[in-house]
Amino acid sequence: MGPRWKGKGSEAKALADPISKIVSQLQSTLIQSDCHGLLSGCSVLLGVETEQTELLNRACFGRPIITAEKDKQWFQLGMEEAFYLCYTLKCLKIVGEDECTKNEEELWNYMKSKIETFPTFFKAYSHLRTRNWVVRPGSQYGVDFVAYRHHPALVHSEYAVLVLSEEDDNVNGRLRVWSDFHCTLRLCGSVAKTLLVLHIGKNGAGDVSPCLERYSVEERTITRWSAEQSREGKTIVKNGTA
Amino acid sequence: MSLAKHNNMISPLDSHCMVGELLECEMPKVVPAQVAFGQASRRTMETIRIPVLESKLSLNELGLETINLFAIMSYHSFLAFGYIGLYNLELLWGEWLVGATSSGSLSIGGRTVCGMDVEDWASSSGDTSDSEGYVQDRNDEEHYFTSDDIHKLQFRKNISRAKWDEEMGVAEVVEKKGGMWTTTGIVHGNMYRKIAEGKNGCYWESFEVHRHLRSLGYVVGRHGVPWTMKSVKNASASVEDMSENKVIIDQKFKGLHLVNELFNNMQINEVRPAFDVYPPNSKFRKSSPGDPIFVLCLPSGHPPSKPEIEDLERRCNGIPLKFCHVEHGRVSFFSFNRVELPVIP
Repeated sequence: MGPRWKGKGSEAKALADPISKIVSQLQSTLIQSDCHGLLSGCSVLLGVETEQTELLNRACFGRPIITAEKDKQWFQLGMEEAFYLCYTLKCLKIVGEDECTKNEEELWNYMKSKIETFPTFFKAYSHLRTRNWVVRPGSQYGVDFVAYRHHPALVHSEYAVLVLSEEDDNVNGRLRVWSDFHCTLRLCGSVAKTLLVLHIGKNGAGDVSPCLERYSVEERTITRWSAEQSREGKTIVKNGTA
Repeated sequence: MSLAKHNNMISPLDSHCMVGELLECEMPKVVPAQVAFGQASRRTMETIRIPVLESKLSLNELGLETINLFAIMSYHSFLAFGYIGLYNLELLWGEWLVGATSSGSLSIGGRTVCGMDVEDWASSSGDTSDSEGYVQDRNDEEHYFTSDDIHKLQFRKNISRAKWDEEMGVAEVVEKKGGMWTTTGIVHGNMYRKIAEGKNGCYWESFEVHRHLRSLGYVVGRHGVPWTMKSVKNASASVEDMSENKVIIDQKFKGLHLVNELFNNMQINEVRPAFDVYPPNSKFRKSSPGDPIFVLCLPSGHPPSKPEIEDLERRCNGIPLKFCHVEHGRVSFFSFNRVELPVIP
């Protein structure tokens, strides 16, 4: 399934306005304004000015929260998003309830304590984001993430992503039984997404601290094959060639 | 099963059975449910006459066979014969024509007892083709069998014959008719042999998968089993399950021993490559089949794990893999393809 652009001109708009550029603009403006996010439960809350608001929206990080506050716009970031801005893009500082800035290791441990699958999920998230895919939560579709080629306003998401790790004994618990297979694939099909499994290998690195460079990512798509439909396209061919 | 002795008819208890005489016996028969009339399916006994064709085996073997035959007669259980039965084959068990299957039909003594056309089988196993994407599954409803399906009589003109060789565990085709033999069986000299796995294999699920693909025109071979004995001499990498390379002397029984070895030595993993599938192709030749379009693996119990998939990919040497799952008559095929997502600008 190739990219399905929304409406005419979307593809051109996307080409003219690459995600990589938007993200790097976001990165600089956050650094300049010395933004601090507030750790709260499984989210990081971020109060920003207009310029940052626009870039956060264009780069698809976080979700705006409606508040009574007039001069600032507040955003709620997921843990992977927040950690990505903090650890990978190094443009965000995150503060705990004690009002002290958390260093990377503290943040990692905190997030790990909240969500067991955080290390592999973050590796998957950052694998896609560093390739400039737009990554959003997939809970609406019963998967871990959905991945877009550009802003969701311009394109439909191609991939429904599940994150699996053999070494974790598949703590994620997905696709272990056939009924889940059928269920997930059917759902993905009905929302026109390809099921993409990201297999994260920890390669003995463990997850005590963020040593993500040692993690490996293998991408596999799971698709259904229809014997009937496959056959319809076939003509009689000479023996030995397909 | 009770065997009766009548004029001109022989009981298998007699040690001297004459070829050409009729054996009368009572066989259990399932009369399918007549849903419209509120009748459940029921078992009756039916007296039939079986021609004596060859003289050889003892009652014991016949006794075992009758149990299978009973199973066959209850519509759903086409076990040991089912695999062969897709292809218009009469199975001769020593001297008694114990059962014959004809494209899903069961005939005894040349008369069809129950059966369906193979095309009907393909559609009645349920819709297996969810279109990829946007259209809703057309066959959301469960498919119910009606008594019509079961009663369709099938008269086949091209009936081939095979003789069951217990020692070898194969059915040796002694008379072949019809075009299907270009794509089934193994060429060995001038004789074709159809491999049946007997009690160990020939599971219902693998039969269903095979049938599904064959009925759509695909050419399906057993993975690791050569199409022709001649080519085994120059064993290619596709015959990967051979544990040792044996020099094949082109004699009838030694060749067969080798083929049976291939089956016995196949690793009994949870998931193993089962079939090599070739595109629907009327020009398919056993002497040079070419590469299959994919190798089909049959996992059991649970979906294949990443290490299992990787192991199979290594063993299949670059030929694409597919996995299928059969449940309640639905056959689903899956591909697990490694990809590399492009870097977006």
